[in-house]
Amino acid sequence: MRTAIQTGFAAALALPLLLQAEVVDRIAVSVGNAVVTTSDLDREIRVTAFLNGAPPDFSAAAKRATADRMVEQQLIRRELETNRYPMPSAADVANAVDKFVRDHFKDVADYGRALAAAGITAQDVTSEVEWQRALLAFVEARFRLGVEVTERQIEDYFEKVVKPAALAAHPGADVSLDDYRAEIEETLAGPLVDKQLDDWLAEARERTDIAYHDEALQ
Amino acid sequence: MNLVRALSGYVPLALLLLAFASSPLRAQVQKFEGKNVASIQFDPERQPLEPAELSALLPLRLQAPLRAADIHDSIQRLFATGRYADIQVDVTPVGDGVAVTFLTTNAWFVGDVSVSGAVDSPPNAAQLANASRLDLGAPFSESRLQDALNSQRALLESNGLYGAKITPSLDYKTDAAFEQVNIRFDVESGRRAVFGPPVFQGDLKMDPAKVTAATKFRRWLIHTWKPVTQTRLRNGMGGVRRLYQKADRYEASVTLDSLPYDSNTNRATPTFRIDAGPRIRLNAVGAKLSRKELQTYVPVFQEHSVDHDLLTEGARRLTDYLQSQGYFDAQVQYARQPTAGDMAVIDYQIDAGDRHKLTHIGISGNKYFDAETIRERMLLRTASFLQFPHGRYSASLLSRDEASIVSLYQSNGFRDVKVTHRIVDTYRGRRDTIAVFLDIEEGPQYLVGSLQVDGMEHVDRSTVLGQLSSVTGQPFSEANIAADRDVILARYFAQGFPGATFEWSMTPGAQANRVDVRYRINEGQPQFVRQVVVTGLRLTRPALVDRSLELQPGDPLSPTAIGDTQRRLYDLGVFAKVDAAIQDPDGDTTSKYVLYDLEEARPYSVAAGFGAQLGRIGGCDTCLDAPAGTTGFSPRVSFDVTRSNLWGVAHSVSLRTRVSTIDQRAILTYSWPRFLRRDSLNLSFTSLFEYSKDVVTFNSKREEASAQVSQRLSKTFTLLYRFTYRQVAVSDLKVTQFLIGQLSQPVRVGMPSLNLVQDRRDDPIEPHRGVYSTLDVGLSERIFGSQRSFLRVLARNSSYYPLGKKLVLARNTELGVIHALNYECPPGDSACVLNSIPLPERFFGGGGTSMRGFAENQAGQRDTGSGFPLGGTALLFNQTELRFPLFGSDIGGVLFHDFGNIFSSLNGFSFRTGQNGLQDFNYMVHAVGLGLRYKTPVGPVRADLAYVVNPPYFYGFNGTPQQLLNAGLNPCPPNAPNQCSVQNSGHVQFFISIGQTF
Repeated sequence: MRTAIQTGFAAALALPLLLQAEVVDRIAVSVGNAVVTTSDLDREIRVTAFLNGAPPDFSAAAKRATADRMVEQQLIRRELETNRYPMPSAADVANAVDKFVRDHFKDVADYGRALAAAGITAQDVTSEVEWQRALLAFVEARFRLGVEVTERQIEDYFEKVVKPAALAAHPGADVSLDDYRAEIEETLAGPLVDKQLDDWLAEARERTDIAYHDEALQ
Repeated sequence: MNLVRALSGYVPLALLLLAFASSPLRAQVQKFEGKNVASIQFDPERQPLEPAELSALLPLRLQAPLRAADIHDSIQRLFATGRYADIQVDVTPVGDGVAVTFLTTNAWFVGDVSVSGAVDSPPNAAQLANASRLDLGAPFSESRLQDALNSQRALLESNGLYGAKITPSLDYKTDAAFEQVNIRFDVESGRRAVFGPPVFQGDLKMDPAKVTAATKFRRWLIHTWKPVTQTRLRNGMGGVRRLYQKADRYEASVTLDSLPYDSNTNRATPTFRIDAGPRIRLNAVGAKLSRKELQTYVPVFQEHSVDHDLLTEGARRLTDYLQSQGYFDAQVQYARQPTAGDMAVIDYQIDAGDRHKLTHIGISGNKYFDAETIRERMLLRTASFLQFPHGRYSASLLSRDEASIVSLYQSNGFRDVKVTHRIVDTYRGRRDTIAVFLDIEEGPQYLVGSLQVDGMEHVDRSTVLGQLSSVTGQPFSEANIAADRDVILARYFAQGFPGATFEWSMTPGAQANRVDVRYRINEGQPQFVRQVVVTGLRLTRPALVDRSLELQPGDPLSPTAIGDTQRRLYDLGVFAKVDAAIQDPDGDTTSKYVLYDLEEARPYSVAAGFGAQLGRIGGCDTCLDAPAGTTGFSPRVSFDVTRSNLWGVAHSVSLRTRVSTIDQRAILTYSWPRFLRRDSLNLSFTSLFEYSKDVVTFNSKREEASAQVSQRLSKTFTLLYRFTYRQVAVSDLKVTQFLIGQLSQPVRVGMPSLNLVQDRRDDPIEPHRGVYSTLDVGLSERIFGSQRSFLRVLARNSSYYPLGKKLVLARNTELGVIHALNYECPPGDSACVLNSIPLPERFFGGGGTSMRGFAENQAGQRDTGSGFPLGGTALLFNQTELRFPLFGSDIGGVLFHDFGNIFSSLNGFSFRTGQNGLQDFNYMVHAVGLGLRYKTPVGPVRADLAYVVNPPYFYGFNGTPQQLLNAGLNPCPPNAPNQCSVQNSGHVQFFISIGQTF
């Protein structure tokens, strides 16, 4: 009996090899009627790692985290399309990519070698840059304009945080609120914008059918 | 926000040189990249999409090189159809190429959702089904099922059913062909919890016992706790809020913190958080306003909150109110005094100013529209008796009128129109009057120079263009463009183009004030009906439903047709609910299943009612003292039972009964709608038994059977074909002796008849314009089994004319004649003539709906001895009414003039207004009067008071029926003057009923 089981088990293991059938792509997460496939996850992990200068992490936990992030991307992309938010121009994106290449690589050939080593294409990087720009524009248009930082909050932050730090760095210097007003406003607005975006994403998740295919995230 | 942070910057080059781990997936795809696709297969072989649609969807092509991007796109496109829950792609080397296999798992969609089991209402089964939020045709998943269960549990618990058990049963088999899962929730409600003593937290500022009493959670007198329901909980909180409101604590906040359940005691103990807030006193300073008026106009009372916005809104409403009362200069402001102790005082400081009357509205500068057209759109009104004693005016109404006029002009191409106003006080020297002058500067009218429509390929272009407003030479306005947009998109939607879009642009035309307009249509992809799926039929035969379907496979997916079919299914009268949906409407497929989930109505319905009739219907059966009737009261009970959807073909049988002191009636009706499978035909069979005393002269017993086919010829015309067979016997006749023998014989009548109805009224319940006409022709003949032969014709015509915006002139004329056939009477034999038409077949009339100069059925000929009415064989009634608003929008008034009578025969017909002696009734009786109408959802409640100018006078007999019997042929003058007295039918008549007179 034991032999029979062992034989069967070995045959089952060997069968796929014999057939040489391989799953080359599959749905990892569905978001509404859009999908994130395992090939999307693979590319996203590689591109993010490339941009972050880190080795790509194909562990289950990293895949899950990437899938979460791509779900958010899908939700925002759908919003961008539905409400016709302006997308960054091709020239704008190309300039940003050129600057990136100039800043970080010796030449185009060097950049090409790095892409090949990372297993991604120049188009993958361009798409990522375009997405980043679209996202930032969306956040600005959708949430930043609705966030109000009061004069009182700016003054408080200046008195309690900025001024002591500035004086500590430059004792005796003349520290004026006007010099720091814009930066303080952005600093204070940041967490508020983050919260609004998080709330919006949570709500969007709530009203969208999202299904994770756990076996594809292993 | 990790989304942004993860993408937030570029990194030093050095880090990029770190080694990348290789991914097996990337390796797999690259291994097959560029190899020829030898085959494309699906597993399982049977797919939810048709092969042609699959082929059109996939970017992969046989014998073409395999690309990873194509595989990814294939997955995306297949999933976007909505028909798949999971898709994997296998690639197997085959020779030099590869075999591609799509391993798919079908998606499922919500079908019939039902709730069964021991459901203790509330909530009822329908509420539980709704709570599931599983909508017909929507994608189904386990997570949606869990959401549904959670939602249902929450609903049950909010109604005190904490121990409820819900067991879902999923039927994947019945409608597997359409990937539809039917879901049944078996619910065991369990025992309902009762309230425990409520716990109050916060600053109550009131005795908790008093607050507890306000919740009404305890039963009256016995003081046991009531079972928990959502409604009781809501009402309980409302009761507490009202308690605080009565104590002037309008800011009191009452919220339910928790409702913990103790399974040992089966009690749910509500914990309320209450913040009573200060007492608030609202005062009107500077003008006399009652507390009720303040409560009506200051919204803090309704909103249970006091804030700046609500108080400002209160000031605005009070200003409008005062202005509508003639205080056109009224100014209202509020001031909140500092809270002292537990009291906050808010003063509405009112400067009402003098009371005015709006006596004139002047309109000038208008050329394109006449002043009357503009006035019709205005809310301002000059003073008029009763309705607007001071006129209707306020600053906000004036602004709205100016905006309305601007909108009117702009929608007709006057883009630069300007409207200004001027108010003149003490108009024409009359104190406390004002006049409003509106000056209109029309400016040029812009016209459409040309219209270009691009992209319209798949709809009938000429038909659509014929319906557009913005065609060459027509006024140019955005309102017209919007109307055109609606016309175009409606046409596209109706033809299955759900994604059609419309854009427009304009450029200045070649001529001055001309605009060239361009419409751009993006038609999008058409969608078609894949199949119509009907679920939920139990008793009903599918063929009955099939005949109502307006959609067939392959038809354009038209929401209009889907809605029409839904309406037709409702019209069958056998379904309590008809849910219609497109399966997975968001799925990116060209052909869709159209779903109808039907819930059959209960086969039996029972209705019982009570009522009463008050009018001149009285008089005892054996007395002769009130031939014109006396005021009487008749209670009434009705009971109806209907069995619908007989044999599953929408036939029905109903029994309607009514019992009152003057009428006992039972009607059994069998209805066959859509007779001969034609929508316009309905067949019915009716049998009736009635014992009635509605004519004071006699009691009648009627046994009748009839068959009727109604045919709807057009929207306004209906034709009824009817055959009636009846036997009527009369008894307790109150007439002179020599007539009794002939008139009391039971008579059998068989009569085919035709009835043509034309209805062009704008509103059948309360018409303002239009025409309503009927023509009824019936022939009673021996060949139809009749014992008397006669021809009966009755015609009616009503018409309604709006006079201005408020008044309606309504008129109604009714004309009828009964002509005896083959019945010869010796000259002067009045009894024979009378008997030529059986007494119950004669015309009887008079009353609130026919001629208000008479009480019910009192018009026409009378017995010369007793004075009781005998009806007649010819009739003419004419009513004219002027209907007008009286108080507000719900109470109206009527002035009316009725004339007419029932005549002995067509030969006796006369427009004469005087009565020629006490035995002459062939003359026109005239009545004038007034009435009140109070609007209700079932029609106006009507009260009419009529003064009869020339009521008939007649002899009444002073004695018993036996004495009348003994009095001979002519009991009254000149033979026996002492036993008779002269009476009349009354100068004043009064009627109360429901519905307009005609």
